[in-house]
Amino acid sequence: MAGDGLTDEQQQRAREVVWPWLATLLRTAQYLTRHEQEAEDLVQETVLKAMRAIDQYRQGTDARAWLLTILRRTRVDWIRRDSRRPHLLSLDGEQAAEPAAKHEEPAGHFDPQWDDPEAMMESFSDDQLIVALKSLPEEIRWTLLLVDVEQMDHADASVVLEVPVGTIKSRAHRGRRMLRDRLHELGHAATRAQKGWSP
Amino acid sequence: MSESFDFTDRRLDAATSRRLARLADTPVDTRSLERRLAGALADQPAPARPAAWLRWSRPLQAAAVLTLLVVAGWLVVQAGSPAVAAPGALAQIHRQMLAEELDTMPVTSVEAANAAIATQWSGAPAIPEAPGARVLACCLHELDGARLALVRLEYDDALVKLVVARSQDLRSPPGRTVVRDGRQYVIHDHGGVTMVMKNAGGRWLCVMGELPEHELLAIAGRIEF
Repeated sequence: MAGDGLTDEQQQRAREVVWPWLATLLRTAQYLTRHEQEAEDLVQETVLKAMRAIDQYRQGTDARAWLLTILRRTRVDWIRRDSRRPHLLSLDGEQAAEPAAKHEEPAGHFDPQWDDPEAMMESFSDDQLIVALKSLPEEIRWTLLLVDVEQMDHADASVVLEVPVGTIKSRAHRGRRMLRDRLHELGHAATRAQKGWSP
Repeated sequence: MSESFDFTDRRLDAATSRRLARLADTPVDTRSLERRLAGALADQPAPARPAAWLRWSRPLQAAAVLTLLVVAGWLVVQAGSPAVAAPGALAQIHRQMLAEELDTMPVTSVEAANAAIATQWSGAPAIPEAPGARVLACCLHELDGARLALVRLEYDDALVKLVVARSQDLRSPPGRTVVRDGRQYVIHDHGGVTMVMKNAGGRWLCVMGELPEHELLAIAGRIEF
């Protein structure tokens, strides 16, 4: 027997399935959590769960989707059991998303520089993008992480997030718009800071 | 919503999506996580709490398991357990090969090395392919009763030795474990010679050389075993 109650064969198989996706899991966890340490804790628990459940993984199916599903469920468990952080996540995501979703025409939506959307998006650094992403409600953030960052198709993302495909599509659209709003706000804040304006 | 608004929205969405996709290109350092996982996996889990009616039998079970382990261990010793690949001995072999004190056969490919070794050791484990390496020489050696097939390789300007034995004859000594690309290696260092060891497919393999650990790991990662 090897570590964590697995036979050597199970552990070997688990490594073959799980290890190639460690970077994906860690990147996703980093965008969901506040600290590197917290992200590693989350991925460690996810990996150990996946290894224990390796017999449930069907060879040839999408290992990434399987692992991200475990990651998401682990994250939900964490939030449910951590009563000190109830404000971090609305578990269905819809309520948290609602206030921002009411911004049908967000402040920066018709900003002249947005005539060139590619250039506008390129003007933001990765760090700014991450800050904006992290400010979004968790289920919206999950949707953007899967659909846009990891380039999953809507059907696979719907399996991971356990919601209908239509919900994924609407969340993706709404999430991108919310992200642009946040970026626009960040851009304004940076300009104010550069010019020494008080908020 | 007007058509022009939809069009603008779609363009914005597409640009946002493409920008987000580039976040996936940012390198993620998984080394710390891999170390933690290796540590977590090395720890034996706490056994599940047994039902109350079973608890009394725990000492008896432990005694029975201990007895079985002793008997099994004795049988294994009698049958001949694998020798331990002592880092000191391997480092010495490395230096002997460098000093051309070993009787090596010049070869130019892994295929030729396998053929040359097979003439002296019919049951020799196959030397794995080493893409990108220049194959220089091979030889046979013995370590604590276990036969070894050695190949001298050159990667760019770096000289390394690839050592192959049968898993049943030789095993890695306990050491630091590193996981790279899903493969688990045991790392040892002796007198400036670094060794990256691994078991795979009934073979025990070791890549060794006077190189930094990360370079040897990168070389080990390119070997097809």
